[in-house]
Amino acid sequence: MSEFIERAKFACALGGAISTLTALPKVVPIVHAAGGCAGYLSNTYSMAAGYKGSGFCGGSMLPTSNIAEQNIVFGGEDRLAEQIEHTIFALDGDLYVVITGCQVEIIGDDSISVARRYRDRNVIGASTPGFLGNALRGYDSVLSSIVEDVVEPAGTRDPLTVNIFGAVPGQDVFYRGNLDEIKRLLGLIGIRANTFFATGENVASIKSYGAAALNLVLSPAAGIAPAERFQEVHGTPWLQTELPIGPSGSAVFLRQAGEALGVDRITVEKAIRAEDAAYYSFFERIVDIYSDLDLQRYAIVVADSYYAHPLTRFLANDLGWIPYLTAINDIEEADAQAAYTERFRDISSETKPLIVYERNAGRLLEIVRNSRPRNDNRKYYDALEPAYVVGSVIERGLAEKLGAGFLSVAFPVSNRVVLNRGYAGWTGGLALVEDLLTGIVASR
Amino acid sequence: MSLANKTVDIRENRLHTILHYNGDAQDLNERGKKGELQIGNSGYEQCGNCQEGCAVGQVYGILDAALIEHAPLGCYATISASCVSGKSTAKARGKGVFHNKAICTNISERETIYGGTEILREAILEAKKRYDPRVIFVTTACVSGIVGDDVEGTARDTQDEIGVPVISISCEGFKSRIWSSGFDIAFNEILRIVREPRKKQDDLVNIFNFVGSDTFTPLLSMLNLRVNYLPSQTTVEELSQISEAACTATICETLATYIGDELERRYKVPQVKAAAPYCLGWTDRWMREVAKLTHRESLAEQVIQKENERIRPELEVLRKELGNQRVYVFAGDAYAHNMANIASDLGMEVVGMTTYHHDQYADTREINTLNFMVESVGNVPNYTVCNKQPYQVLKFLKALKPDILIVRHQALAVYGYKLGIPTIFEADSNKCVGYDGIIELGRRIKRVFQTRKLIQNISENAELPYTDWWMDEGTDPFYFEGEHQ
Repeated sequence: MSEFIERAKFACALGGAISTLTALPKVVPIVHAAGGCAGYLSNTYSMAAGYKGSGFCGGSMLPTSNIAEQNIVFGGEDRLAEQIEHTIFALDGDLYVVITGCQVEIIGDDSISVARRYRDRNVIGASTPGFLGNALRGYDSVLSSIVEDVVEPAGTRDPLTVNIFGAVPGQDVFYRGNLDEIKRLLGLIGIRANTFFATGENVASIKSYGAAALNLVLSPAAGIAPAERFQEVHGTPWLQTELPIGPSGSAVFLRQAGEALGVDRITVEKAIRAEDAAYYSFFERIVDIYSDLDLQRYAIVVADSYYAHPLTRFLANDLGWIPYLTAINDIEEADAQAAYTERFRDISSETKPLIVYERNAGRLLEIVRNSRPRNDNRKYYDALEPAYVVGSVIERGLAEKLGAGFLSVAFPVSNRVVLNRGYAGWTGGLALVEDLLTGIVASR
Repeated sequence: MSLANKTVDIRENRLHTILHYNGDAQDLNERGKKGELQIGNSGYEQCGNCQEGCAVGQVYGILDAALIEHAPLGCYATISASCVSGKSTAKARGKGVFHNKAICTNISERETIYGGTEILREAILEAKKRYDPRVIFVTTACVSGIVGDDVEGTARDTQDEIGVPVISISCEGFKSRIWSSGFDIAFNEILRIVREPRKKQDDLVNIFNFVGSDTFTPLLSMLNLRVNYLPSQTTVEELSQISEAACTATICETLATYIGDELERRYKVPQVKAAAPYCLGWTDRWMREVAKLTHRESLAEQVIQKENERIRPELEVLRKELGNQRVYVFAGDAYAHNMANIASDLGMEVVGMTTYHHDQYADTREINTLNFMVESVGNVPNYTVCNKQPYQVLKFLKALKPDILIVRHQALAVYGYKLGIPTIFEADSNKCVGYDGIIELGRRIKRVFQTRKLIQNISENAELPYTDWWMDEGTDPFYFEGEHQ
């Protein structure tokens, strides 16, 4: 049984599918569901993901079958077929993707087969009902269909090309800035990266993704399913990596990718050294105040598994903060939790963070309080201060109660406007330092 | 608490609501009065809302009630935005800090097979423990409806166990094509917590509204009347007393004529049977109507005169500056009439309108906002009805080229910008109320005209998803209508 949700940090699978498809240029989703699903879910990501907007064909433009009671009783396949035909007529897309809501899946519509009838007109389908699970399942389902039906078999492999999976648009509020930087990073060591969503990519380029030698998956919770499908269909292996944030994470990432693709070590190390030098030439500016203003903090990280470890590692290994608590909200199985906890072995600070798997944001304050000895009015009580919370906007209340600094990075982010900002790479590390420390000096 | 309650029929059956119309305001008004129009169909549709969203919106903001959405987590995704507006409304109205008191049962695949009443029961117990609410509302969703969970029975049984009323609201999205049916369903259940009046509160006015600023207090305090904003940001106790109010009014007849009518029938609380107070003429008439129901006629005349004089200088300037501007209104049925009316009062020409649906009549037959608007603005040509459908509205706008567009719902103003038309999004539906409201709208229109350069840049760089065929002037915007499986 799933847990109750109080403050939602994910929409459902259909929400993730919509957010994913509307991030692809000239891709038209066709939502086979009741009238409210598409608009509500699209608005959620439009408003709670740094105001990313509705996109090329999102928002209230989303084509929807708007099935009603008669379709629930008699089936909705004919209505879907009609909607597909007319969508192709009225909308000019490079790709049309039928995605499904709960209603039509329960009544047994075979939506993917209906979509297949229009395969020659660039229509594909993916099963994405909300009850499947959270938004990551929608991303997985849609990308798996694209991998199978859109990516073309390649005659020859390019040994220095990779495809990137796991950055879920909207769920990663900074997906586009992050992916642009990941392309740049890999480019430094001669690797060409396809990312689906970065600047300049489109359906035509996605068709050629079959030529990649390797797929890199940035998240432990999203992207594995399409990467596995890729392996089945195109024979391409995949490798679990992580979102690289700042110098430590980016160096690990480049070494891992370089080794997997046989890039010589000297090239990789040279690139890392050059990036480190550039990074510290900027970072050096705040050294004057790091001590003078006492900018070290106890760090509390509350995020999904895509961000939790990379953020903690950056704060501890690159920014010198003390990682106190890291709460992860999207891993449920005990084995997967244990495997994820292993990742924190690379935290180089003396203090290791307390790792908890907790989906209910309301319980975090209690967890923090129970983790400390009681004050009992002792004169020299060692309070958890100064502290800083990096989480979603939902953790703003936690930060206020702890008297801690606060930055929202994980979804939902409704208190910031995000355009091309990203936290990946050395560039992203600098941006993150700016955002974290600006919060501390803002009132000066 | 009355436990036996009648059910309320969906609007397509009860109000003969339509979703498709093309003509002019006068024609729609005449034919609508006879109820002769059909709801209509289209073979191509874009998305709208659903009645679950409308129902949830009405009960979510009740301060000491808890809400359980018995649904997969996607239906619950809008709660973040509702919580944000709940917080800002509480602040604007001096209601302290608003806290989320909603839970989603998070129906997963397992419950679609084995049923979800057990997790619903646990969620009700959890809500009681977490929030200690006075009332717990449970809303249904498409999934719980299709699977056939006995939500009402579970609510009834658990209520006895915890000693707190648990009220189920049966609002599955697919059950009505008219999403505002969800308002009626929610209000029908809210009526369960309304008690028999103990004493008449002669100075209390029920105002049904959404969220937003407190614009009725300045207006009604001039008549020595108190405002009871409903249903959001009220306590269960305040809700239970609405049967004692002097009268009931609403900012939008699409929202609340069902409950207004029921309060009149059940508890003899009269409705203000004038159009809502949007524009000078309608505000004057609304004030007189409220005054009549609360026996303050001579005071009202003084206030009306004073207020008219107070705003006259700026209103005259605004009328001069905005006269000759051509406006298009794209909003919900009754609210669109409010907006068109103010725009017209500001001297602008209403060149066309699109409403998301049209109730051919209201539960209270004397309340007919389209009729009120035709009387006050005159006929509006290019009057259409469609369930949002930006693909059609885009063609109306391209053909008419208005100087300004006014929209009421989120995620629609963006199309005005992409077409290069200065656009106002009327998010706070209370903002344009009363004497200050007309000035407020005028100032905002003047302000948005100053962003013309940005809007032009956006439209030059915007890419719309439509085919050349659809964008062609010769293609009928109603091409797909009539076809539907």
